[in-house]
Amino acid sequence: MISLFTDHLLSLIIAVPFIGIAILAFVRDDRLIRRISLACTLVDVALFLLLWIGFDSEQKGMQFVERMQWMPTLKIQYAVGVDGISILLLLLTIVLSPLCILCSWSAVTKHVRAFMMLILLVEGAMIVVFSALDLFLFFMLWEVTMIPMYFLIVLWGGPRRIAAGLKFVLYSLTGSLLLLVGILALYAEGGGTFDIETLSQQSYTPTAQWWMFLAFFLSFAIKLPMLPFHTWLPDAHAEAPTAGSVILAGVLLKMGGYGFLRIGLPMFPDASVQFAPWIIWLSVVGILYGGLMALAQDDIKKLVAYSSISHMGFVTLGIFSFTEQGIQGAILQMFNHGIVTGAIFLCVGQLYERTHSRSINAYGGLHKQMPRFVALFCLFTIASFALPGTGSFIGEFLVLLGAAEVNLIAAFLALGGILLAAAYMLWMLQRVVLGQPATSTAAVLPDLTRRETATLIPLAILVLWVGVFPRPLIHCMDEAVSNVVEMHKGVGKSNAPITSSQTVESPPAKSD
Amino acid sequence: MSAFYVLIALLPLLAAIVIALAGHRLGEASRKVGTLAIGTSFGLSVLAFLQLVVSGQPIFIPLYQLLKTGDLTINLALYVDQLSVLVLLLVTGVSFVVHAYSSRYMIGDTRYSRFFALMALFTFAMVTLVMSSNLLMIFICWELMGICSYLLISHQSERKAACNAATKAFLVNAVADVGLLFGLVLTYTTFGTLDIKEILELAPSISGQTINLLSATGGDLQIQTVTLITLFLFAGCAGKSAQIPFHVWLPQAMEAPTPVSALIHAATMVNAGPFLLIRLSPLVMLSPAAMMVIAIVGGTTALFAGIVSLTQTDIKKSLAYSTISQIGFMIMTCGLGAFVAALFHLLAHGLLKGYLFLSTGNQLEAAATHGHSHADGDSGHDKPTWSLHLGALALACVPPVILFSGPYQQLWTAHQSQAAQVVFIVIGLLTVFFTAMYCVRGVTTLFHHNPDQTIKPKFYSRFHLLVVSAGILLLVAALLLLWSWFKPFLMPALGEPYIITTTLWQPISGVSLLVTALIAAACGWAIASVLPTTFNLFSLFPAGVRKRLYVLFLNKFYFDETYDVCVVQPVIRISRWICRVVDDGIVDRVIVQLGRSCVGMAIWIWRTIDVRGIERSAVNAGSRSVALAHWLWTYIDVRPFDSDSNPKPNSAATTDANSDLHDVAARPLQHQLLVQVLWLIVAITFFYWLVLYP
Repeated sequence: MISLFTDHLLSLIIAVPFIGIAILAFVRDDRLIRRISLACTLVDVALFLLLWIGFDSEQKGMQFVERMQWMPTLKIQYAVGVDGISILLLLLTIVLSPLCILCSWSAVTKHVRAFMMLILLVEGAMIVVFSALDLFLFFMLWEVTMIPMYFLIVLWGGPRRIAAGLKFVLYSLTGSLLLLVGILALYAEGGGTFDIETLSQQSYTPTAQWWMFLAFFLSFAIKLPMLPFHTWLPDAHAEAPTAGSVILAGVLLKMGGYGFLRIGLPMFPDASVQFAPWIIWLSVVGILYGGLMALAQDDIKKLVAYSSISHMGFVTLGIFSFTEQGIQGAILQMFNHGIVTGAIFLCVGQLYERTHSRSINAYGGLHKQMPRFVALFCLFTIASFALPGTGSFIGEFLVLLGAAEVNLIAAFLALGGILLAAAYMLWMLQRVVLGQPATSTAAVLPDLTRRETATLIPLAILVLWVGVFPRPLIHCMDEAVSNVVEMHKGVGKSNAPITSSQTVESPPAKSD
Repeated sequence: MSAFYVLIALLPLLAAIVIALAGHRLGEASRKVGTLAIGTSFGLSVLAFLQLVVSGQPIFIPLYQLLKTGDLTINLALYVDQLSVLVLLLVTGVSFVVHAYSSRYMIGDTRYSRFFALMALFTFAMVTLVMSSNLLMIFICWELMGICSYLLISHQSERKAACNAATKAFLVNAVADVGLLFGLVLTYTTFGTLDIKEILELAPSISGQTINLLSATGGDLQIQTVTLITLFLFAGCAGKSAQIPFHVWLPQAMEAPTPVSALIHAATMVNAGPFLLIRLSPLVMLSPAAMMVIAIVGGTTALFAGIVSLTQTDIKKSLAYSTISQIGFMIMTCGLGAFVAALFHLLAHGLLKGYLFLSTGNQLEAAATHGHSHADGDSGHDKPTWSLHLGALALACVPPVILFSGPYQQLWTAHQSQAAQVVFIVIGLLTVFFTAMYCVRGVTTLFHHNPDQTIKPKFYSRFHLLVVSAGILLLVAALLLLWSWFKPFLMPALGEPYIITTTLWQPISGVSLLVTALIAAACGWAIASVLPTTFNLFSLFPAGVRKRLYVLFLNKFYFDETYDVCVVQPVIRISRWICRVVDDGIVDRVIVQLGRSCVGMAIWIWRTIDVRGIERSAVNAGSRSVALAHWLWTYIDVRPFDSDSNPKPNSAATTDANSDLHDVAARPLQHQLLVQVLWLIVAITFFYWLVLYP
């Protein structure tokens, strides 16, 4: 019995949200619905803790692997497993989900059941995306995350929700189409299998790599989002309900970065090295561009959305430096960005619930009435511009170290992003929190309730914990990342030395 | 045993956490927590100091591993050597006094516990910075101090000026810290480690190494690596220590409560820049170019801030410029290679400025106003009493005595070049001169009242004055005597001979120079006393120039305005423009247009290809075939085969084939769907059979 439990722990974690959806179908009472969905996500947290305890950081390759034939004729299988890269993103997903439900406790009043079902559906789908070992499974659930997100935006969103939802869905569909093309091409090139591990051990011709990498790159770049493909993000972030923004910024964007690490880099080493200089410059431009855009916003949610573009630039910058520091920094940056931006969206949601305004100019002087809110909000804001002592600093610092080994100028310019982040965040803080209240409603806002405080406290603890003691997180992704880096070490230093060393080695073998 | 000293850093941190979490319950008792913790850590610092004096061995306390990735390992550890322990004494000592002072000063403040939590957190950051063994750890504490400073400047956050000052202080520092962080990155790429001890050991081996700045773009611009690293690190120092061009934040930071100004903006945090330079002195010494830049920046700042300080009408701002000037002097001393002298000045200035700010705080409480010159309007009829001027003279003489005493004798008697030596003496004397002037001016205008004034601050009693003067003189004497002990004590921490000992030029002996300095101070005092108007310094110039010069200095060389016009406004304007024109106007519009044109194309296809035409032709073809069937049917008579089966529909079909086909469309929707699904199943089965079972 116990072995059944431990052998299928990952599948259990995946199953819990779906079971929750099935149960919710038979419940009518709104309060009960909220409690059941919260319970589901908390059960997932507990199960994940077991997984975390059982996870062996020293071990190479995938752990908790489960394989089952699904469509044997097409060699499609249900295969899941975790390694150091995916476990951090799983942690992020599973920690943020209960908070999403808590923050919609009183904010969502119509169609509560549908709302909770959608949240659980996104959670389940994201867990599968981050643990899938089969490309077909990966693609299917990648698609599934999009649909609930669309409905969350369109049904519970702000005033311009229809347009924002449409934009989101069209962009995502384009990305998915390219992803599908890439996956089918990979299926054809890789000898008719969807298994990620098998596919990443094979080598492909440079031309095939070039085209497939392009397809995957565009798809991930839209999701992440990178510079020219970003315009869906501010609209979707701004119009989505709080829980939607948290999921969107916290987890969904990370699917792009995860895609690069799981598919882009291991499967197309030559192409990714070839593309890397361009992507690094694109990331730097994105970092600065996102920062400048954030400076110009008057809408808090849009400001945070543009800051996400800037922060995601650090992720690609780190990944395409092909150094251990860079990639580990990028993963840590994804994790921290999820926590911090999720928290800021929760804070903004709490303000929105009180005043129904997202405009920065509608607030001011909150420090008097809402000391608890202000303390937490300040913490997340300063974490957002990577103040040392918070997790974001470690991530961005490692990214910079990695990038500096590849391109010193790019690393220097990327520092401008940190500076801009400090500028727009502090300016926002000054207009929202300090000074005198700008409107009469802002002067009488009540402080956080106990439930709202409970939503933010876990994130505050995580932010500080990662900032002060990041060693466990970095250690657990050591093996997975060094695996990826090893793969590129041979490629990055041009092909000539490798062939020459092979020719040098071959004569003694013959003489023997 | 030595692990015990972790408490020096840990106690303020614990105090900060306790006050932050239980502040609303502790209320005014939070001062006790803070004062007790910091008092204890001061006691421990004294213990550490004694241990170092006795044993001379640096104390090393490993803490934990922060991170390890690839070949980068960062182990956090505390390292207390002679350099750190002296600064530690200053920091914990001043912090303790300020805590004791502000527990009364801040009474009645609505955010009493927040104030103490932040002060304790700041003390933790500064103490840890001083004891860091790792550059990353220094950077972490560096930024932590910055955010504490931000939160304390905006303590009275109802006031817009305080909020603006806080944001400005942090952002100016953020610009400088970009340099520091990049310096760290460069240090890592060069040395492969961030441990200070290892860096200093490796430093001589890379002194000849150069780095190509334009390697990424294919260009070639070689620069010495050490110079580059030092300059970037120095940018951070210049920010934190308010040197030109980053000095603009410090005068505005005076919006903070006065104890904060005393602790953070005068005695401790602003000294972090010189401290870092002294800590990394073996590295800095390797690059003459960087040393030159450091000396020039320091010297310029010292002179500039001294003059500006004369024209300021706010006593705290005046003191702030004086701080900038003195730290500029320390930085210049570092740039000239006299690190021991710089540290000596750092300690002496920290104590003195802390004292000045706290007494200013007392006065401000009495006067409840910042302005001093404008407070007494155009008075001047009332003759200043002798005690006032004597006190001013005493104050004016303190800086020269410190500046031109023991440590600095080394500088003018022995230095690298004559030019540097001359510059040093000139700047030193000018600084002393201006210091004397603004001290006198501050004291006389503040305590010299006209009869109409409602508030009349007093310069204490004569008795107090005498006691204070005597105390200061004693302190100075102690410092002078200390010097002979100070240098050998500090030498192990710096590790290298810090001054080139060959004598180049020796115009006057040390004692006569001290006398010259005192005379300079006395001149400043005399000028300020004789000409109490603000134009005193500029009376040497013709009237038009005088006025222009005065306005220039009064407005601090328009640094703030220049930054506002050249940096802040353009950035905001550009970002708004990009947002409007590029993001909404180009990127977004292209995407929307793309979608719109897709729809447009679909409509166009619909219209041109005319799907209805296809439909019509299909219908036509259908009816033709029916007609054909009908024709066939009439000629090939099959009626005998089904004569008895339902003749009527057939006859109907013959009448109008077209209407017959339209009957098909009139069938129920479900029926059609069912047919389509059946077809779909057949197709899929066929496909499955065809593809999957070859």
